[in-house]
Amino acid sequence: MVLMFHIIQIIILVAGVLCFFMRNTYDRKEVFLFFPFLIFTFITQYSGYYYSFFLKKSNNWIFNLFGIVEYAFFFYFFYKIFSLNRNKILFKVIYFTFFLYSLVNFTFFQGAFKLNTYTDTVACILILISCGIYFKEILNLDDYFNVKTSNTFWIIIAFFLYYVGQFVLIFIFPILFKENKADTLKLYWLMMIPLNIIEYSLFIIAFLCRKKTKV
Amino acid sequence: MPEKNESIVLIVVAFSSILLLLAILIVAYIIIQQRKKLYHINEKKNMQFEHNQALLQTQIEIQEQTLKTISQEIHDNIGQVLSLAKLNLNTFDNVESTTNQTKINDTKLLISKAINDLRDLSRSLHGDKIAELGLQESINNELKILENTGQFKTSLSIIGNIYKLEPQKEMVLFRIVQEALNNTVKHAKAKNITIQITYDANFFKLCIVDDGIGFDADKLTASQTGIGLKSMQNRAALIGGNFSIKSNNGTTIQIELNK
Repeated sequence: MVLMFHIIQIIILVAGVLCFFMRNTYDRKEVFLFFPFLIFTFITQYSGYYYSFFLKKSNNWIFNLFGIVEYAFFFYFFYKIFSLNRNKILFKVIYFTFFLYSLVNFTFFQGAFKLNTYTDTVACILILISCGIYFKEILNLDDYFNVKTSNTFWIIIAFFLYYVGQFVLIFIFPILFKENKADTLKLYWLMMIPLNIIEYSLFIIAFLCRKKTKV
Repeated sequence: MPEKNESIVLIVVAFSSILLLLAILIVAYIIIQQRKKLYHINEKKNMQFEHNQALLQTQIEIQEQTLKTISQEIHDNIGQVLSLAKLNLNTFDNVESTTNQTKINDTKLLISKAINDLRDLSRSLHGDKIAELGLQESINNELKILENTGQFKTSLSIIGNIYKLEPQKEMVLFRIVQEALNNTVKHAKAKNITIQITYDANFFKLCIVDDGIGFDADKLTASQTGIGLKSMQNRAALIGGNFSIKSNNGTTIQIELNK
């Protein structure tokens, strides 16, 4: 399990570095924001891991805080990629409301030290809806959309597969966790390891997509 | 209890796998739809291209027909009238005044020149005559007409072994040459005009070069290019030729066809 954790971190780091070096080839400038985000993810993952390892304390507060930043970034990205003004305006309100909700949940409801599963559940649903809207916009485009050269498309596919994969688990996790903590964590890692590998590998694919340059 | 946990794990994993599979199917559907869309767009573009080609072909056919009619009119009508006028002038036998005789002779010469010019014009307009003479000869005639004005020095050079192109292609190429020469006469202020025809085993190339003042091809806007240049481009496209124009000190127009 620990080995797999390190492997995932290596993939995150590779994706981050690649994101930096391929910065001139992106279909939209927001893709480059994944560079600081992935490096931040890498640092947070190891900080959380070693915080818990050395201090023998729960690292939930680190990942709860990280979750707020992560979802804010994801939703900012979604907001930027929507092409219809109607969707932009609607989701601007929804995303902002969610951001406030995640802060309130972190501060008052579930608190900083308990895993913020409510935030994760709502975020999962919102991300899947956002992916659906993005796909709908693509399908309704009059012009041809080249999936081979779109970084954004593969990033959204990464989100989509990752959150579809953890959809059932994220709902059932709080119930299972109450009943059997150890087995639930095992199940969590059993599912999250392949999903993380899929997600970050798709990020790498996304950063490798490049526009055809005119000679 | 462990059995219950195992079955829950199994259910969660199974449901998640099914959802993941569905998600992959959705992604595949989107990719397939995009490919279909690309296919339709290309099909639409091809149809548009074929439609434009057909339209252009019709336009050129109408134009050729008009030119043919004008050519026939010049030959059969105006030419005949002038010949009759010349014949009438020949019947003036007893002209007393030498001044009048000189005037009559001058008029006869002028009418003869007009008849010859009209014959040349008629030939260059008539598509069938161009096909009959062939591309080189027709171009040569055009250059001779220019040379006869005394304002231009012209030359036609042939590279490679001459072969016949399809009559329609030769006709289109000849019309491009006419248009180019017309532009040179009107705007270029050129002294020398050279036409070079290259007959290669793989391609055919026609170059029209003048040493005129040229023009800035990049700065020309759509409205400024005029019908002439557009017409040359369209005609070249119709026969699948690559049309290029270079202009700096003098102008070079090149049409290249794959054989």
